[in-house]
Amino acid sequence: MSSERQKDVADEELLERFRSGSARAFEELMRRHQTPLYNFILRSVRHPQTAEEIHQDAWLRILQGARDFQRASKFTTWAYTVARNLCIDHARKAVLRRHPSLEQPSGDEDGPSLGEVLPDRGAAVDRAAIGNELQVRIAAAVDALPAEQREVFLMREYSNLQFKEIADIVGAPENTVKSRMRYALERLQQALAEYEDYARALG
Amino acid sequence: MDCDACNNLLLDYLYEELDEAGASAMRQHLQGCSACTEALDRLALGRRAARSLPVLDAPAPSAALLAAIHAEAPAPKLRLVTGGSGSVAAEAPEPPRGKVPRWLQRVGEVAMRRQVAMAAVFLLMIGFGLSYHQLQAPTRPLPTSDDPGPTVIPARPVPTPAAPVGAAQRQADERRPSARAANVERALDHRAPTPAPTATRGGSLGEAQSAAPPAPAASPTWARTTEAAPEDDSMHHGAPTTYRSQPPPPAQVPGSIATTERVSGNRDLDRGMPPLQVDSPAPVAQQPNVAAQGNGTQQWAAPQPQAVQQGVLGAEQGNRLGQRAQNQNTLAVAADAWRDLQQQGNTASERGQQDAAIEAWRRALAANPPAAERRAIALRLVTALNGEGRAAEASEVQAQHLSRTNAVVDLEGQVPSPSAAGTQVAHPSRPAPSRSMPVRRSRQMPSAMDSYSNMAH
Repeated sequence: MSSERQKDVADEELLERFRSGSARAFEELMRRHQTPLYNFILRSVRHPQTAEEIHQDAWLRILQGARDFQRASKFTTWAYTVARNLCIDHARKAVLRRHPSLEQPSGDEDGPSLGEVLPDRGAAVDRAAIGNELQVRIAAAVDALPAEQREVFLMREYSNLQFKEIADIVGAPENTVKSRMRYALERLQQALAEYEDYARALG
Repeated sequence: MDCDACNNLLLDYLYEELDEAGASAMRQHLQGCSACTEALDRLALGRRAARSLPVLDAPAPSAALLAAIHAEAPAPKLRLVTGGSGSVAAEAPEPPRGKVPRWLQRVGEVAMRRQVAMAAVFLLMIGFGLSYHQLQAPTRPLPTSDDPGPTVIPARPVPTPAAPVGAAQRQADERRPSARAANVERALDHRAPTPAPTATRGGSLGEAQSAAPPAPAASPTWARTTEAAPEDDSMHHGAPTTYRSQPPPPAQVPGSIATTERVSGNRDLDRGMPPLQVDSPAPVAQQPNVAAQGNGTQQWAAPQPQAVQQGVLGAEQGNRLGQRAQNQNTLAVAADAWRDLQQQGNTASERGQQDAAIEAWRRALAANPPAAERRAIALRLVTALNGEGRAAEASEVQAQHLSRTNAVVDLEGQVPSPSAAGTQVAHPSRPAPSRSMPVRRSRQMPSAMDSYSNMAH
């Protein structure tokens, strides 16, 4: 069961091999999916340390649930459902801790939301990693997306999940998912256009 | 394809989710529809913007996660191996696996109850107490049945005392030669030593002096600790033979002749006998810290709290009995040399013959008395020397016998006294006397250690 051969194997087959006792099959599953899953979590919770904890927790739950996994379903659907639920739990706990919502506009209706005002560490990671004005703006735009738009965008753009699968994960009709995706992409396109205007103005 | 249909499929087209037929239909429509093309371009721009974002590497899986992966993997493997033919066969081996732990779990639950733990502790305490008392019990008959040595324990209060009191007592004993024999007999009857001899000895001085020991003697601790020193007892046992063979009591034979005879005789004995270990462990007993600097034997003889000593008594008793059989005769005779000399000194001192007393005490010190006695003798000697104006000698004696650091010197075999030095070398395997030292000392010189041992009991 070499890794070369495993590359051609479907996720579900790898999971089955893990259930047959192959730890390497599960490691291959992790190798395949941990980066997009982590980025999905990171951009959802916007806090690297929390993201890391949730990421590990998600894989632990996947590991523990592997025995009960129904082969008929898709591995990524299940894995992202687990990760998304953990992110939602985290957000709920944050609300229970009476933290003000990051998306609630501060002051009047048109004011920036708290999420836009606070220096968030997810954006900080981006800035440190890239130092690129465009990327900073795009990252800010992604962070500013409503959660339901953002999660769809992240799963489609970074995790390469199909709309139908995303619909299964978020529990919404596929058309709803697509419209959320559309809003997200148009918002990013606006951010890009603003940046291009800004860059043009700089000359 | 109209614009609505195209619009609905723009994202699928953009993300290549359409099959080849759908994709080609889209391409056809888009070529002739600028509005749909413009909408697609906006979405494509948004996607391009999204792709500018970096993808961060996932953190390495934690060790706990990796361990969990490897821990989870084998269990299902077993199920698969056994369940190759079907899930029913797979389930079969599991129930017994589950049953045994369940059974064990119940036992474990009962065993983990608090009451069970308390009962176990209670039983342990009872058992420990019983074994502790059993440990004491055999130690008593053993010496008396095999060896009369310990039977003389009651006589110990007689020689032990520090100063003039002891001398007076010795005199009283020797005036009534049967007294010691009576003590022996009495001791055979009463294993617990002291009170009886005290009562019979009678003399006012003797009573006053031996009033101290009986109190502890009444307690089993005292009985045990005295028996803990069979070596000493053997010496005591040997002592009467000297007395009997040489009846002239120093008190009655005044002065020089008796003194010289005794001294010379004892010196011969000193030279001929295997060197005494009596002295060397004594400083150890006085100074626990010093013990670590000694050789192996002395480390072994390092003083311990009495409770600890008692704990090892039973184990060491047989060993010591054997040693005693070897050393009894020579040691016993020689061991008394210092006592006679001490008495002579005491007697001379009482008679105002300070020079003779000083000389006798010096010899007594040179004859390796046990540490407690040595200190007592040295104290008197120092006092007498100071009284005579021989301060330099006094301080010398003090430094040699009374200072705490002296113990180190003794341990290292640098004691000026040849017999003491010889003692160190030739008898490395006789650690037992040290055990008696704290006990004997405690009767004479109450100290912090004594109070500690008292507290321990």
